Amino acid sequence: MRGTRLAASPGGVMRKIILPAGIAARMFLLLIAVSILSFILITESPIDPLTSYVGAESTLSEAAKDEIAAHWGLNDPAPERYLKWAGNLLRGDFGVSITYKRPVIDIIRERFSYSVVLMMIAWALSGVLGFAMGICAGLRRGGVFDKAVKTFCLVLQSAPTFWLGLLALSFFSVTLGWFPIGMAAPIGKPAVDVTFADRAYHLILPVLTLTVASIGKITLYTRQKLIEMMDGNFILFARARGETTGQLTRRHLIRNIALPAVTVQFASFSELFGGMALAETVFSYPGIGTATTAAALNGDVPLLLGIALFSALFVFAGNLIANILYGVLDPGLKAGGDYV
Amino acid sequence: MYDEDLAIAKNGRISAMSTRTGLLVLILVASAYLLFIFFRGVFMDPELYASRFADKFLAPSLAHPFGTDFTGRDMLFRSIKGLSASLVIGLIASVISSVIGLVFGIASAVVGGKFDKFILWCIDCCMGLPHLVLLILISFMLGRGAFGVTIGVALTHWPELTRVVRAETLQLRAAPYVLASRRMGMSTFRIARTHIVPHVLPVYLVGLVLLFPHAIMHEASITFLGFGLPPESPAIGVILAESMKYIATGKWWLALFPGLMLLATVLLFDLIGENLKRLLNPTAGNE
Amino acid sequence: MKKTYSIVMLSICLALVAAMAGCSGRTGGETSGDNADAKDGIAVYVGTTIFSESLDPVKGAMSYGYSFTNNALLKVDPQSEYVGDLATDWSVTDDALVYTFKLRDGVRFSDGSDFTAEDVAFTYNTVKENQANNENVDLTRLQSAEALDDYTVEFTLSEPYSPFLDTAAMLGIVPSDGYDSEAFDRFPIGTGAWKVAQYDADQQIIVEANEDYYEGAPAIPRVAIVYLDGEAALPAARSGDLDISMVTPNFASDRIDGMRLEAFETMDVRNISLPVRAETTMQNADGDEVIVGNDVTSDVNVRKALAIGIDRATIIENAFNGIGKPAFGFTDNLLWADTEIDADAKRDEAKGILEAAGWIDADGDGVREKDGRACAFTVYAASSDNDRYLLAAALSEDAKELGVDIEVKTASWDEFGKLQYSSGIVWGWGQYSPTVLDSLFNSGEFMKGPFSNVVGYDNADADARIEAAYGAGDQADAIENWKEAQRIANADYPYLYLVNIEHCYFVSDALDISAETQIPHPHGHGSPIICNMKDWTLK
Repeated sequence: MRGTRLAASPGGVMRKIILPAGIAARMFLLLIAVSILSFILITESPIDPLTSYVGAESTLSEAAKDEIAAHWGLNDPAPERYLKWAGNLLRGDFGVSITYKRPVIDIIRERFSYSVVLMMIAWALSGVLGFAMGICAGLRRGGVFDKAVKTFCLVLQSAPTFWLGLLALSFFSVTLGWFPIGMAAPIGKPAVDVTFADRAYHLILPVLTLTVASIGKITLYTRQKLIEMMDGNFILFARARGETTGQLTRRHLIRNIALPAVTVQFASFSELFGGMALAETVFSYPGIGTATTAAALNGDVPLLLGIALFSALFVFAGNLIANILYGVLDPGLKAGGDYV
Repeated sequence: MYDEDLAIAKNGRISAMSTRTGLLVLILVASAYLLFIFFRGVFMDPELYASRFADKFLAPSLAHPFGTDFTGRDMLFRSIKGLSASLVIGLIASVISSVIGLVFGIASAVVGGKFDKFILWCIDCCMGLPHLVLLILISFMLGRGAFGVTIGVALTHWPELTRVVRAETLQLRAAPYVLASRRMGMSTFRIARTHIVPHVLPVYLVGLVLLFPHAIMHEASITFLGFGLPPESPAIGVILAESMKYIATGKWWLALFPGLMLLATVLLFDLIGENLKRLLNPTAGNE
Repeated sequence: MKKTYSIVMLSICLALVAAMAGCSGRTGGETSGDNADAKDGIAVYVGTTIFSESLDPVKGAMSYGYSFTNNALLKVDPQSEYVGDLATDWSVTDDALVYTFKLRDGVRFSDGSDFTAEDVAFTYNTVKENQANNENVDLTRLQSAEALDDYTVEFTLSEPYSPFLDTAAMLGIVPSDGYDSEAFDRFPIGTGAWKVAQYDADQQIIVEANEDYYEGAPAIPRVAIVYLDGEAALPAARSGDLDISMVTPNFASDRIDGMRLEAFETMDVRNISLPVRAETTMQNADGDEVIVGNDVTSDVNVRKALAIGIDRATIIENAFNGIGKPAFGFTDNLLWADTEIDADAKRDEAKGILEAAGWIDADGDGVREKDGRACAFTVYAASSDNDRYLLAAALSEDAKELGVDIEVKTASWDEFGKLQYSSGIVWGWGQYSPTVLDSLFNSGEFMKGPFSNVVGYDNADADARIEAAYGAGDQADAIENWKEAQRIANADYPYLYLVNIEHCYFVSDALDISAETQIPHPHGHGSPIICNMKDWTLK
């Protein structure tokens, strides 16, 4: 169903343990292409290029505006404008955000640090729990627990992340009053006084939502792999040798399923990012997701460009790791089926 | 896919025949429900979901099974209307997307070589950005509203289907009768038309149905974030975004029921798609 | 088999423990946080306008009279009269061209430097030189600002400008030496009771008491002004994290333990612009073709019927939970407001006007028609402002009674630029300065400013009165002319006034926000409550 995707399609070369330089180069080219795609999408919007860099309510003098236009090549044709932008990026200059009136790179750094914590905890939790649930369900195929897990996961996969967040908010924060309604730290507390515990407390519900939203896929994947393997010949063989289910699970199954499962988890960074953006909106969590919507709603082109690039990098990193892991895998295993 | 009912069927506990009938019935019931939502919404009298301030914030009751919202709109009718709007957008987007997928998938496999590489590269390129970000960017370029979100959803869902169609076509291409036709001098286009397209159609159809839930969910998500349908329109994303404002006041029904309806719709499409897949290709019970 | 389960159970337990650790960690953090709050200050949510603009007075920051960092020469008192702030006394020459202000002695800026006439002259001249950056203070008629000595400043105008005292109350003074255009966006230096200690864009601004404030340091040492999504205001207040939380009227019927609801009088009215011209196309200031005028609202009978026929109390009840006062024009807490009209809910009279004008519901669908045209038009509310949408929706429902079909839609402020000349738009107006009348009625403003005279009102008498008001030598004369301009224009009903809103806040029972020194709140989406923050005390 919701298929896993690997950025580079599987092929013979991928079976080698070390990622060949060619693949790395190909993926890097892809990153450039993605940046060009984002650039075209964002700069071809109906917003006037100068306005998109200084904002509609700019208080800058004409001279200052001209300087900005020259710096970003706003009066140049698109290809040159892209090169200027890329050149500035390489020097670490992402421009200044209209929304937050600060350098884009600072905002991305700050916001990403919030989001990465959220995403990685949810990612790890959903991976571990999903894997465990998948193994349990698969071992008792057809049982009550299996049926429950399967239904649970199918439902979760069909539930929009933001709706799950709304329900969690409504139940845990409003009805029970256990958790804060949103934000990343207690309201009105100076940044220096915010403790680790404050942060953790504010993270619980967003993490829970994102975990639950992404747990379905990995659970069903693990379960499916386990079932396939249980039906395989080498299990028959092992059983014939007199191994118990427990031994089997430990010696063969977990070991053989763990790697493809981790690969699938890495390849799901794209969905993770989307889920994160929605969860952040529900919980007013000041991460990169809320910044993305704010940037797009305010026509904040420098910030949107920066975020698009960083989100692409994020997905790219996940796919790269997945590809490397994929190369490590037993060639006989089919990782992350590319079914729809 | 993730199911072993078929394995059980093979074991003889349930006859293959009754499984087939069961699948058909399931598909028909699910389709009937979705068609009902679709037509009920499209032909709905706007008065049914109009504001009636005297009735605002009513909890679910017999008169208003889903309750009413902050302007006294009936949430059941508003949800149905919203879902049917989602279905319309989902339909347009899925059709566009699936046609792109079909054409690219077949062309990629049949033409092969550089073209194939190029298509694969385009797919990777589209998947290089998080899906939601790509949707936001497209809607940013085209302006918010129904047009932007439809095009956005249509242009971001073709890669998966392209891959499936391509894989299927590659298998077919190596089939003896295709090879024979080629040796007999049939043109590439004609081979595609007479041998490939008819055989790929079942896969395409399943792919099309399975695109639907994605399209609907993405439409709702992007509308929820404020990029899709305008706030005054009855749309599931709008309804759920509004419910966020009132959730703290304990108006739980505003989020719960419309969300459940969306969930049911998505699930049913999945169900139809999966069962259709099994009906059309019974031997491939498991992926 | 057993071992598998133990592994699985172990991992689930681990996850739970991790979650618990978060929970218990929270308890510790919370407690210390609460203690810190009680000692050090308060946290308030008063809307987000403060976050959306620069804090620099030179760029028009907080010009509605509630700057907490920079004092102006004058201020408005709770009776809407101008009284001295940094100025102790002032005089105007008979020709109304020279204003002289005596300044307060011994005032210091928060950077420690002394406040003198030099700073006043610097501030006014800087704003005049960068007029394009400040749309809230108009100094185009200022010829010169001069420091006569350390504590006397003299302004010479090129022509009489009666709202100048208002300008003197709006423009916060910045130090001539320490002014830094960039830094002041977030950390302005002024003579005010507060200084900005921390600025987290779109999160919070933490201000600390200025110990050197000339009236004495505020009782509360630290205030965190927080940024929230409007919908989070109520839950945040309920969570106990906030001492003040502004809420929209729809949430005002809720109760929160330990907090009380306070609704404040404002001068903020909501009206709907009804284009007075027949439909045509024109070029706007940017050279784009736009549709101008509306063939339904251009009939004065339709506008008048709506104005006298709608039931404002019901509309306010429906949209705002009954919070707010019916409005027929500007409010009586403004010295220059004309408050003579008050026709409301005269259904029969309104229907009579419509019928006499030929608007008759011949086909029985509930909507009147005339010459085949339905008595229908569209009203847009800003998509960012749910209250305005509600108001328009409630109006739409009420107007059905009269047989007028109002379709309500939402659009962004950018889109208003194209829509506002041909559709109704829900506006909010509320400021001490009568200059708002200029942008509502002056025919010369049509198609000029971004949101000025969008109805296309064109009346030479009204124009003349506005001109006369600007040039009036004394305040009484100016006020009389402003009132007359309103009388003339309101007879044509170019704007449909609906409500004079009230700002609602949940306020902690432990906090006294000094109701007696609160001024009637200007427009500013709830922020003006902090104008007297220096007088607040914790019980």
